[in-house]
Amino acid sequence: MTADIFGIALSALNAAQRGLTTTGHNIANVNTPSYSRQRVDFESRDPQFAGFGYVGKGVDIDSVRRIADQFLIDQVRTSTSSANQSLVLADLIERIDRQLGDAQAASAVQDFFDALADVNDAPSQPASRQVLLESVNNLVSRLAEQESLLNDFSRDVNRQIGATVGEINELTRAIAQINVDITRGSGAGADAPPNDLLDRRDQLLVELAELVDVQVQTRPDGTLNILVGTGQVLVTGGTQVDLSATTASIDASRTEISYAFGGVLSPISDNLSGGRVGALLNFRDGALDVARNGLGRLAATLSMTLNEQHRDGMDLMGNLGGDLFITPPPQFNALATNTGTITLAYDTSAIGALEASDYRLRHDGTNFVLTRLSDNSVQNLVGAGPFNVDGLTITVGTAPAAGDEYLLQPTKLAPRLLRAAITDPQEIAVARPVKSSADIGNLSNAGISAPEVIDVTNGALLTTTTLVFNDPPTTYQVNGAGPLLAYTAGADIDVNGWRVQISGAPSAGDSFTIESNVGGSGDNGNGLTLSTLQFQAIMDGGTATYQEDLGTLAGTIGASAQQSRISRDALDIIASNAQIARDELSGVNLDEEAANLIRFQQSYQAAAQIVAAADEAFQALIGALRS
Amino acid sequence: MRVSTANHYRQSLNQIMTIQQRLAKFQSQVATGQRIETPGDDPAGMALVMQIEERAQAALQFARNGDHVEQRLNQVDSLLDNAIGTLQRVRDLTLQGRSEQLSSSDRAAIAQEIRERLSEFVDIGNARNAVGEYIFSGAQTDTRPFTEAANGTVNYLGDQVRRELQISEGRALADGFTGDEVFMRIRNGNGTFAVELQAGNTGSAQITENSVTDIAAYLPHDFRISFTGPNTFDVINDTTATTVLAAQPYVEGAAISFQGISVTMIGTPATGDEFLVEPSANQSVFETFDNLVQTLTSPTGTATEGAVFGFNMDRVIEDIDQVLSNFNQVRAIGGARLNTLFAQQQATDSALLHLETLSSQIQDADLSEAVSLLAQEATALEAAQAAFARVQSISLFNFI
Repeated sequence: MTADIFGIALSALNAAQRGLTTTGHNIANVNTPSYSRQRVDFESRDPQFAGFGYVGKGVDIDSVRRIADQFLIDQVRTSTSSANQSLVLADLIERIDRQLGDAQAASAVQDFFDALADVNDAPSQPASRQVLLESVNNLVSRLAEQESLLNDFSRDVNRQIGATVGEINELTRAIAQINVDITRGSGAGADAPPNDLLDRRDQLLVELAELVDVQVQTRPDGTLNILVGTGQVLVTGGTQVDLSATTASIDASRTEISYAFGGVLSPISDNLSGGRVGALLNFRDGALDVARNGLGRLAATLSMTLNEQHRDGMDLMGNLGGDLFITPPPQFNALATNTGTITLAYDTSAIGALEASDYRLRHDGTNFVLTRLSDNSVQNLVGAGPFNVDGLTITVGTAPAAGDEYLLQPTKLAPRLLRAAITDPQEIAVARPVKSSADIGNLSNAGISAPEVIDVTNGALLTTTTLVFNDPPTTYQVNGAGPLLAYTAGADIDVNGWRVQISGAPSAGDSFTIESNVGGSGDNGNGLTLSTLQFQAIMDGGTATYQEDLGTLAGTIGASAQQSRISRDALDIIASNAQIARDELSGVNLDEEAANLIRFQQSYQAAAQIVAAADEAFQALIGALRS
Repeated sequence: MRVSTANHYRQSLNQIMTIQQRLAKFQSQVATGQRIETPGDDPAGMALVMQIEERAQAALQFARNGDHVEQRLNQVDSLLDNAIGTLQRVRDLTLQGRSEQLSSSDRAAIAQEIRERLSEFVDIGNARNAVGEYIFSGAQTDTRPFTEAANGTVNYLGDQVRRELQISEGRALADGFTGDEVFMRIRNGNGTFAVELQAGNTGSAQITENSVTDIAAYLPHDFRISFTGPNTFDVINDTTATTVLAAQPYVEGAAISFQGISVTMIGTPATGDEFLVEPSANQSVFETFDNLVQTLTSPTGTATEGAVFGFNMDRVIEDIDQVLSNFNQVRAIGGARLNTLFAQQQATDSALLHLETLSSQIQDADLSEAVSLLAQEATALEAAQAAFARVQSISLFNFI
């Protein structure tokens, strides 16, 4: 009997001790992420039949198990992936949003036009010309600065992609190792679950999900398979496969994530989503590209349109206007394996059609297929070209072969490559190149308009030309010779690349002279036309002024930022709800553990009392036998 | 529902952090007075604000341009005011010099004063503006527009290019006048035609009055009144080589009318004397002065010379009046431009005010609301913190 009671007491002591240990373990891990509280399952020992009935033999420990629900754990993982993606994305977009919200480029454009207006106010003033020259330089450097900041983001994203790939590999390696440990552990303990290993693996999976969205498959032996993208296996049992960060073959400035299959690395970035990777890729190929191309389109358009008007003027030295800016040629990358060649240029006759986008140009064996990457619209370029598309002219050089591929980046790098062309304030051409005058001997009051330049390339533009009225003054002749041209008051008279209108009723013999405006240092005729470009809807298919376009760009990025904040907040709530749901079941509650502590402590004391009671009974028996 | 301890901390902390975020937002709104910090706070609003700011900047620039136009037109006006004063003085001197009682030395003295007045005019014509540009040389602002040659003639070296400044998006206003239109391009005679004595007339007749009686009948042709006898004349149109009136009797003081033109002659013409009626040509103020000086220093001894003198003085007065009317017209145009400018400035001012209001509506925080929300959030934060501290201090472990 005493053996029985000692046995029972021992099993009770043992059980209480296990209970205390487990409670202690729970308390110790109260702050361990993904830790699931553990419980000791007790069961009473098989009783012994003693004729009159069954006599209990004490308590057995069935198992120590974690209180966990796989569904809740999976919820935490998947919601973490999307929450972290939107969290990182919101932070990234916030950064460019802040930068574009600064409106540096817009204010540099405004400064240019303000300085131009000051030159127009007093064109001969060296000081205001100097200010205009500086505003040109300022505009160039502001744009370059903005581009450089955006490019820094791009480089940072690439670096982060590389670092993240390293982290993913470490995590998958660790998971593969746990898979191995689990098979070993499970093998050793039959069906006893290796609770803490499972928790640790769950935590690694959450950490992995923070980086990239993965699919998890549980195998019968308790190990996991982990897949990314379209089913690329990262972990299967104890085997792990690395991801690699590689440089895109057509764009050295773009880091791709590649997967080695059969010894060949192929990019899988396009198939990855979720987590930090999803955010980085989404940001780089989305908002950042929009911002860079938008800024680039402004730089290219501004440069070309201002140049064009500036060339129609005359500078202080009496020369025709040159360029204000050196417009960088549109950039493109070709695959190293291409057979053919192309050249790319801006289509100066359709500058407004320029889109803020990169393009993929691929030859399919018959035609070039042009894909605009901003909206993925596809267009077949049929024929030999040159092709005029979206303000670009694509000219085919050496004949292409199927598979030839180009990445056209017509605007992206423009702010970086843009330079000021003008170095001398005197070269600012705000004067009209030609001026008109009515001869002082004219008998009538007929007037002549200031000449407008319609073709600055006309070689005879600056040649002195007279328009002389005949008798009767219904006709006139150019330079007093040649055909008699009918006079209509106010009608355009186009000669030598300029256009004038004569108004009123000229008298016979009246003469009007159009001549070079050399010395016209006070004239601002071309400057005024140049300044009206500020209010012309030039950009985006003739719908927006320069500054409106920048405003729209800031608004677009702002809308992305707003959207990303909203989804960040929403997904954060979902993720934290999933976490709460999991913790409600699996999390440690210290008060509960305190109660358990007391419970097991008391159980232990009670079990010790059994030993004492048994001992007392035993001593009593011994004593009785002795006496 | 079980509450896990870690969760309890996390949730309490999250609540406090959320309140702190809102607190920070309202605090920044109160501190900056602005509702929008980055475009992401209100993308559409921010795009609009950027547009409004662009408009406002441009409006400020237009206002600055307008100020320049105003200054420059005012300067022209005051220069012309001076010029008109000088011209009045010259006109008075001319009337004085016209008097037949004056001796030739008196006239020479007047001529001398007029020469000085002429250089005053040259000075006015060569005036510069605040930035050192010659005001009256058109676009040739670095070129001194009027130079006096040794023989007293004054040449205009400027051009006819007018400079305009943008005073609104769709409107540019000339900020001055060219020397050509102020000083050079002045119609002589009565503005339609001018009368001349043919050089070499031997009689003492002169034209005293001339006018256009019927502008519709007037032709800008060269006419000649030619005396075929002491009291008979023909009127010949030299442009068409036709005789307009033939063998007309001459009556002293009676109007001679043809083709909308009316002239009145006094004195005694000699046979062969001719009088010319020509369309008005452009004559500069300097030429008019020169004519005046020439006339004042011409001899008046004989009856013929007296007639020529009297006639030329009348012509000069006529021409001076043309100059005066041109100056006044230029001032009137300047005044009209200033009126346009003032109207535009008012429009610009009210547009600026409107833009400011609009921009403030979009991006300014409602301060009273922000302040009250700030206080509300601060209270909430205090409560959350107190609740957290209170709840966290309770633990079963305290009782073991």
